[in-house]
Amino acid sequence: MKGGCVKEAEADLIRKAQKGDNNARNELVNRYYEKIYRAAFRLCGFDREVAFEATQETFLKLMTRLDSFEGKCSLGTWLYRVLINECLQQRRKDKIFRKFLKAWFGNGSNKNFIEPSQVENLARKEEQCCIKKAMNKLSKQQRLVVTLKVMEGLTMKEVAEILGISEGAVKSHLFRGIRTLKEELGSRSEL
Amino acid sequence: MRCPRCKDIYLSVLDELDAGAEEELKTHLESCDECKKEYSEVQGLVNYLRVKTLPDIIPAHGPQKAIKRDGGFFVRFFGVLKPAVAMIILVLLFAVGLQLFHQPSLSPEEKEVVENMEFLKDLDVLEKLVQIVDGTPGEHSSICRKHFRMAWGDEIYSEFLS
Ligand SMILES: [Zn+2]
Repeated sequence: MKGGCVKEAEADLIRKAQKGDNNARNELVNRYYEKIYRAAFRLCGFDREVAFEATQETFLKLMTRLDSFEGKCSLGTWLYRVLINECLQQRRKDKIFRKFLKAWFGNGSNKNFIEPSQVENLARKEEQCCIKKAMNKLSKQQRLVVTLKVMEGLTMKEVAEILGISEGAVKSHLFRGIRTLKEELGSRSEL
Repeated sequence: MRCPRCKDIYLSVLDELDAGAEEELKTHLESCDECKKEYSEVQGLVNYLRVKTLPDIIPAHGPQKAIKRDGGFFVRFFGVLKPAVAMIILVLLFAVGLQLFHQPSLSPEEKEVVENMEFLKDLDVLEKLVQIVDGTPGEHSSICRKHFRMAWGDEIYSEFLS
């Protein structure tokens, strides 16, 4: 019942946004921005610049394609799908080129981020580096399922819908993924 | 682990086990140390993955900017490239500048040769003039005027000759 209400309110918001109501558009973006950025960060190998780019692209696509959004799936599902595509593209995109630019022209200390304390930052980065290494041992599907189900905490049904696979397939990717991660990160996660 | 319950353990930790199976698993965990250990390990792993993978900061860039910042492909591409493009342009300008200002220093002999070359260009014109002056000026007067002007760029002389 509650879910139905939420969906209806969102459908109303989408209709308003489609008619060009800027407040409704902002409200839609506000509602999902943090969630999508968080998922982007996890999907893009904990690289915040890449995650930021992917998030921006996702919301640009939302704004440019809003008129053709028919509501066949929830907006959240649609955004996750677009985001996954963006993240896979960003990963594929000239990583070397980015590195080259960073090396030669510096990081430009991105204005979008305020740096947390260095010690805290270092410890966090080290952990994320280990997780990234372990995640790279998984297949692409396992990685996606683990990110969406374990890290993002979506339901099996939502994950299946986003990835366009059966719930059985989600489970099997999940079990294998968790098993591998347990082998790789077991000792760390017990700390 | 030897006990075949691990899938139920995964599902339970991830809140995906239905009530009946959950109850059954709980009863089993009370009597099986191996599964108990596995359960706590999986739970530890899931918590670890959830917490440690959170972004330290959400970009200060508001969502409004996400909408407005629609520069299209080129703006975004060249936005990234700005420093690189600036470098390339600088290098090109430098190369062009070098070419323009690079004057080969000539020895006095070489300079003389260059001056003579300039003179040789006009030699053909002078030859014609000599013909005109020596021969019949009538039919050549127009050519004469033209060539004179070309040779010295001075109208008075050409008018005088015609
Ligand atoms: Zn057991």
